[in-house]
Amino acid sequence: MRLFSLKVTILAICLIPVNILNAQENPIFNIGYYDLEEDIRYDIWGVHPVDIRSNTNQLYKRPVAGAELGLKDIKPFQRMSKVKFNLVKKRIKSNEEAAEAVYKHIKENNIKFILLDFPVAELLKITNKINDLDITAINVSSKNNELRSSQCNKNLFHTIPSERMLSDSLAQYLSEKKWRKVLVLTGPLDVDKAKSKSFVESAKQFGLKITDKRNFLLGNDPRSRDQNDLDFLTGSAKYDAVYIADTHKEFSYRVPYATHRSSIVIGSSGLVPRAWHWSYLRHGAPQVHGRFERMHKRRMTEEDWAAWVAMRAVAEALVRFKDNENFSFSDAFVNENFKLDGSKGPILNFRPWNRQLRQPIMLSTENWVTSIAPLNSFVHRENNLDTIGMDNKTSKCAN
Amino acid sequence: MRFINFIYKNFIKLGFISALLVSFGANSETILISNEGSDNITIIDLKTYEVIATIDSGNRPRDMHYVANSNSLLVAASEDDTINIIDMNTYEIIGNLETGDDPEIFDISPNGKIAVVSNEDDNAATVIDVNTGKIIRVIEDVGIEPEGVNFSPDGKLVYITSEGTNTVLIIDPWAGKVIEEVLVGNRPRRGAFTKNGQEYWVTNELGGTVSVIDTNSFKVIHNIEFEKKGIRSTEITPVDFAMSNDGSLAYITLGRSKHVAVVQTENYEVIDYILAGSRVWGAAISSDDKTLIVTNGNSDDISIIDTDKRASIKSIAVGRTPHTVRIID
Repeated sequence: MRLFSLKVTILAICLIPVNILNAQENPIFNIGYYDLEEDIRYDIWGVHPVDIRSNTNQLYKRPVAGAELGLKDIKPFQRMSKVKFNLVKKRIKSNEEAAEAVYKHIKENNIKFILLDFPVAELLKITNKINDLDITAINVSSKNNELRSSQCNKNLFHTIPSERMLSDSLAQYLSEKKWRKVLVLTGPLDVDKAKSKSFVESAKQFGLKITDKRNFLLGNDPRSRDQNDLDFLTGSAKYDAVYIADTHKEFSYRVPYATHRSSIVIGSSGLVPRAWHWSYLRHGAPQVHGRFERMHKRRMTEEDWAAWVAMRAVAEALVRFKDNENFSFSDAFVNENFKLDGSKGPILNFRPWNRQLRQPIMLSTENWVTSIAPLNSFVHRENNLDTIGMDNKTSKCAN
Repeated sequence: MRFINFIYKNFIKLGFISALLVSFGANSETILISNEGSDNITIIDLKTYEVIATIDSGNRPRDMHYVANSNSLLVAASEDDTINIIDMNTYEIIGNLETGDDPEIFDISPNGKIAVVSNEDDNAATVIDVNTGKIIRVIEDVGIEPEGVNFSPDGKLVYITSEGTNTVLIIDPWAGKVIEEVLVGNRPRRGAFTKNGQEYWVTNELGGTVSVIDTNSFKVIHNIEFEKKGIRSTEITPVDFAMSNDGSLAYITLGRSKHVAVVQTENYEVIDYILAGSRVWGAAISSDDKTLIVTNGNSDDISIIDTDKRASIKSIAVGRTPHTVRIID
């Protein structure tokens, strides 16, 4: 490891522009990035000799790419933060050893700040394990609602929005359009069920009517055609919109334009709520997309954005608050003067009660951002961004 | 009868306008608007508010500067990676300056020799020889997404706002060196020197404030905050300035809040807020300080503000997404 840091130091010295006033040596600040080798969310499917998605080249989509852009983008902050940023990446082999391996790696490398890209089960194990260490973690990919409502951890922050923020955004849109009757289709995975549950809660809050809930199955078995044939699955029901929860997306991609009634499709395909979409053209977003695409030769996903903005959060906290007495990232992040620029319009900050980053949500098709939530007609007594997701009245972590 | 009355009244009005044109046409001021969505420049008479001409520019025109001795207008055409030189006698593009990628904001040295432009996508500033139109040097690493560019009144230094790094970089464009970096608020967009050159003011779009930098010590000496009943703090997104020619007032456009703040320069006191249009961005003031023009990016028009009444008196439709406004003699 000593050899490794030495190499990094030499590289960093070469990168420092000669024209900076005082080129004195700043200490290295290590940021840990951990993810899982066998992560079902990054399974590759549908690879075809003439891959239909090759124009957007989205097969390799791990959000560590966003952290790498983030590292490049926060390098100029080094003049102000007086530390040299370094990203230490570690991919954990199996989910059983995740908590132990992350714990050991943090201790060995004296890391104070980490980004975690894990499914919710591993994430919980890791955060419980590292609770006794002086460390702040940011979850960049798990949207699980429980992490923000009953399983909060004071040192675990979330830059990726929760399922609830995403489903609230959809519900606001349907409510504003007066498309109030919704058919809900749910996939077989636990994450699919959690997505659907979240949407049903949002629907209730924003006054939508769920006309039926059905489960789908990917396959051609004629004996279960009520679950795998779209005409059966979406027949004999009334609806203005079909909501589909499908984490893998392999089934949901075929739903738009194929429902029994003429209807919009929302959720995992059709109109999809996302933290970030490459087609967004305002608020400095095109500059971020451009830098990402030049670096990684692919589109920037919402998880990439979450990892990128997490890196920005580190720099912002150090630059503005490092001189505070007893500085800690957790305190800086919930300081009322903490302001994060996520290149999507308003200033962003963390909800103190559940450590979730407040942010607008992009309601997007495959190639366009159709609308941004919160929609203008939804107003909150304190911050309109709190009309989506669990505010301090609904999250159990607030108490 | 009513109809005849209408014709009669308007006939008189028309006659009055023509008379104005004759009496002021020769030496009155002109408003120039760059429309980044429709790739053209709208030219409006400041006295009559008539649109005199709409002229084509390169693609996505943004910042503009007028060069009096050659009666030409320099326009940053961001999508064409160039600055157009437009002859203001013929309204034709007669040449281009090299700029590097995606030029947005630029400034010309007081002696007219060089121009400095920010390259938002390359995190760089480019120094251009105005006479030859060629790039002299590129200053790298001026922060992420550099935007505002201003020559100091003595022409020695250039101040650049870096949106992504929340700093102002002070560079020596003649030597190609970064001299100093000053931390300001979030997403600094544009800057302006006070008339006496002692201070450099910077709008922090997402921070919702204006940072005042002392040009001698390079330190932030004041933060101006904005507060108006009925407007949420998140709506206050300051972008551009117009400094009054007598040096007493700064007019600051507040973007999403649809208002323009009026600030006293001697004590930083915000004395009024003037209602303008949707996403009010660019600003310029007439030489007699009587008329303020602001561009409303979301409603494709400009507001004409009477600075004595501190109220908008007229709005004029221009091209799509008006960006910069300049007033020239």
